[in-house]
Amino acid sequence: MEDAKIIALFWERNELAVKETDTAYGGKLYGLSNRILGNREDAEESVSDTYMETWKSIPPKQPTYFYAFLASICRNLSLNRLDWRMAAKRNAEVVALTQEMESCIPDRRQESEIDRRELRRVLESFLESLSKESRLIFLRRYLYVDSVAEIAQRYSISESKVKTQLHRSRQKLHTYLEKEGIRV
Amino acid sequence: MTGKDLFIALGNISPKYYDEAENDTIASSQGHKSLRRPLLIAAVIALTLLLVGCAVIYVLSLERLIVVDHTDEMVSALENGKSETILDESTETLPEITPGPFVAEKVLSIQGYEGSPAYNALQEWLTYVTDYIIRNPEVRFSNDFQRPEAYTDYPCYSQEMVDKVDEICSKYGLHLLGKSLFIIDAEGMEANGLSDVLSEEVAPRCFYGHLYQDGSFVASGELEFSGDYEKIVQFQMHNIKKDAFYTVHLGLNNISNYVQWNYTTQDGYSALLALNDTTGLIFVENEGRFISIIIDEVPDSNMVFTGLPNDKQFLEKVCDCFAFSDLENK
Repeated sequence: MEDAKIIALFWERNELAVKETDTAYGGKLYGLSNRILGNREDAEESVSDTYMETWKSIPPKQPTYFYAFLASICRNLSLNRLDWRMAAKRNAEVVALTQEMESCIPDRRQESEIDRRELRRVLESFLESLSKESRLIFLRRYLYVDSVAEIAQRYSISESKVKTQLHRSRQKLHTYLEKEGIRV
Repeated sequence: MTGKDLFIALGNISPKYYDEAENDTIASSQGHKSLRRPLLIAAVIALTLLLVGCAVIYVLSLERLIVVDHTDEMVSALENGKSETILDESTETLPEITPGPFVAEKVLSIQGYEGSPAYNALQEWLTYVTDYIIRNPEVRFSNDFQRPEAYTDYPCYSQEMVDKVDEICSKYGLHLLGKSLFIIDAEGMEANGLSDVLSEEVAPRCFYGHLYQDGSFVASGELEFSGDYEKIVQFQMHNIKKDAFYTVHLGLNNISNYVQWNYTTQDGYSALLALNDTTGLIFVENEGRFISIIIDEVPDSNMVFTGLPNDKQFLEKVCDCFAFSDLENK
């Protein structure tokens, strides 16, 4: 079923909306959540919670990008559910990702508080500055928690190219954040 | 703010990015050409360079640029089965090139020709690093060592390696590059005096780079050509002072695939040009610097590589986009 029709079901408060959402995107959402949580049951619960949150959000919201809307909720819920200490113990991929992101944080001596909206603006500005290829690779890695091998396979490129692109993008993000820190 | 905070905050970006990352693709190769980036770039074939009005015949040969030759013995990568990773990373301009055993047939200096202090320093450094990593294979993956700020752009994983950098610099009369400044756009490049490396009429599609404290720099960007050559290329210029210790290098395979010739640049310098179907190379030596430019193709909107024009005039046209005078003499 098309996204517009699914969203219309939400607006009509028709419970078929959840079923159709699950049919269209349940697999992808589960995959995203499972990559973050590394636990089947927790991932399934997160996906269910995602549907619940979507039901509560639409209406009044009418998302333009429906899957993006769902994925954003699912990602946030999964991260909230994540036991970071247990994740660190089992050397989970998501912990490695946060360590990679650590390299983007500017020198703490220059760090200043940056509010959530401003950070979003900076991050989006940074993403716009990337070439499309670099942006896709960056987003698949840090938004969708894909492994390097999965990204390489998805785009039919070498793993080394993925790693190099990610390294460059992180360096660039570091500069963006550093500029914001100095200015504020 | 921590890495974890940043990772979480990324989730709040506009849904259009979620959508793009989910639905947009990078297509694979088309037709008879496979989608590939050359894992290794560079070629130096024996070259005879004649200086007009001068009695000296200046011979540039493969041996004059090669610092390490593994043709007879392909040294296996430290990480089993990841030789491709090391190969690819070794062709990048990032200072933190993965050290250790290389699987390229030949490793080339982009610091200067055989006999120059920078060439000799690189050769000694690579030999040392290869041995060091073999003795200490886990050191690259450890976060225990914090490099002093002046050594940020040198691949040093211990104080011993930092000391070796100092020893080499002292031995060959070289200086450290100093901390690098990453410049994210053309405006920044101009503000830092680096836009002069491009000819006046050239407007790059993007332009960014690293500027070291000693004045050496790496400038990267994209150039678009129309008319006879409908092509977008990306360039990476290493513009390094001859008395700087610079550890970046090129890996080389299949040099016989390159056509090589000599060309006089618009500002009167003798350039060594080399071209194959995927990569172009430009080498110029001026009063105080050794300049290397690597030209690669930018894929089309469907992320397909179609190759560089197999035409010397194309690379000469690319070369004419650059200015090679020593920036300090401007």
